[in-house]
Amino acid sequence: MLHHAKPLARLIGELGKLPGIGPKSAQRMAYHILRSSASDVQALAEALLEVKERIRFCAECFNFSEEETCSVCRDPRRNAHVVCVVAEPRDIMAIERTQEYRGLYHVLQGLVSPRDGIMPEMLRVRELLQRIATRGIEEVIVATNPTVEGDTTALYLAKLLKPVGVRVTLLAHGLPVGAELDYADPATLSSALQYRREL
Amino acid sequence: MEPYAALAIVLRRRDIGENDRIVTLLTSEYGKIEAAARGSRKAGARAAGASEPFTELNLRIAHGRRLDVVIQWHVINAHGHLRSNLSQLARASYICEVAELFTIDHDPCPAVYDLVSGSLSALESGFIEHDGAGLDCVVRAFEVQLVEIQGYAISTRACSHCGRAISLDHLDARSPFSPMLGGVLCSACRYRASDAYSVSPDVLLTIERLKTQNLGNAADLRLDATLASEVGRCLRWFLRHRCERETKAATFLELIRHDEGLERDGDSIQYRRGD
Repeated sequence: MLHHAKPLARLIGELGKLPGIGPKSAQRMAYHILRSSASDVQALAEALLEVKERIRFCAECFNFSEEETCSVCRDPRRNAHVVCVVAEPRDIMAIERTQEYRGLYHVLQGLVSPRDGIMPEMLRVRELLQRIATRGIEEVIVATNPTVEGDTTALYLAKLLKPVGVRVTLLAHGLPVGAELDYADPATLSSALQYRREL
Repeated sequence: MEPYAALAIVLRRRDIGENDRIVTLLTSEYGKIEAAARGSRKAGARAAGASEPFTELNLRIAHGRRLDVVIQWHVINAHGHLRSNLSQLARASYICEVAELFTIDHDPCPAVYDLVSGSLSALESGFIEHDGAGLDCVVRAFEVQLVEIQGYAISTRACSHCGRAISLDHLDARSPFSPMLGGVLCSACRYRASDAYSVSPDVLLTIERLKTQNLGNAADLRLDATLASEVGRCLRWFLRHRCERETKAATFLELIRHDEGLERDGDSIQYRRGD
């Protein structure tokens, strides 16, 4: 049976470690890299090394940043009294795309998951409490996914933060724009009814 | 092969690829099974909410080469209120993990399905009127009845080593209890188990009562705090012996119970050889 040459097999193996990439996709990507020009491959390799060397966590919000603090935390036009808590840095990008929110962020670096043994102390919860205590934060918006883990995290944070005297709010859950009532699942519909608004 | 229909409770789900999930289902007819929930992570997908843990469903499932695939989802009960209260959420997660550990793939067990469904409903109906202690009684009844159904009944009326009958009605002193051997020990066998420790007669009577307790009103049981803690500790160690490990959700549940001002169930146990 014919095997890949060692360097190619190594590349396929390394690419296969990426999330969502199976052996077939890894092989396709490796062949594409082989067919690309030397300068393109060089640029890719340099980008990989550069991102690992220069990107770190923001000391304030734990978003990815090239400097000590990220661009959001450094921006003086941002409302520093409101913090939006998200699970992952990619959630910040989703909220920023709405162009509705002008406050700061705090990235937990995960969600509380009792079934996977992920406890609150494994996340950036202590740092959030410190920020609230020292930065005059008045409102915390919990923007976790509407899943069991997201709800567990949100409820845990509410329990922890309310005694501190800060306003804790949760993103509304309900029907997505363009959805049809007939196809909505009962949990979503029940949530939409619960959080209905005055017209 | 024709797709098949199943009543199911989602015990667990894990993400796979970009849009899909694999759900672990407790079904009434086919026991515990795993199936693919394709597209369930897409925004607005009908299966997104339906594939969340605790949801009770009527499913149509197609046979797959490696993994069966859910092709139709009909939600019977989303148990949505469980997700708006941390006390209930922590206990529901624990129930689903214990149910997963105590069931075998493709081994039909309608009694376990009914027990899990009943326990989740009992936790949910305890939404307004019950505190953590009441919800704990639902969990205790679930644990006792689950091990009974699965053939690990806790021995309370016969010595779990020699089988000699023990009358609970005339028991006034503390009795040795061995999680390893599966229950109470008579005075002659008290040194037969290295893990034996003493329990009060009330603990054994409470376990007896929980065996037949209606889950619907289990949250109304008012157990004295010391007794509740002792029963909880007893069951937690019993389950730990049967599962050969601690459940992950139990650690989070202990954290929530601590916040509720309830005594810890497991860690403070001291083995006292035959005292």
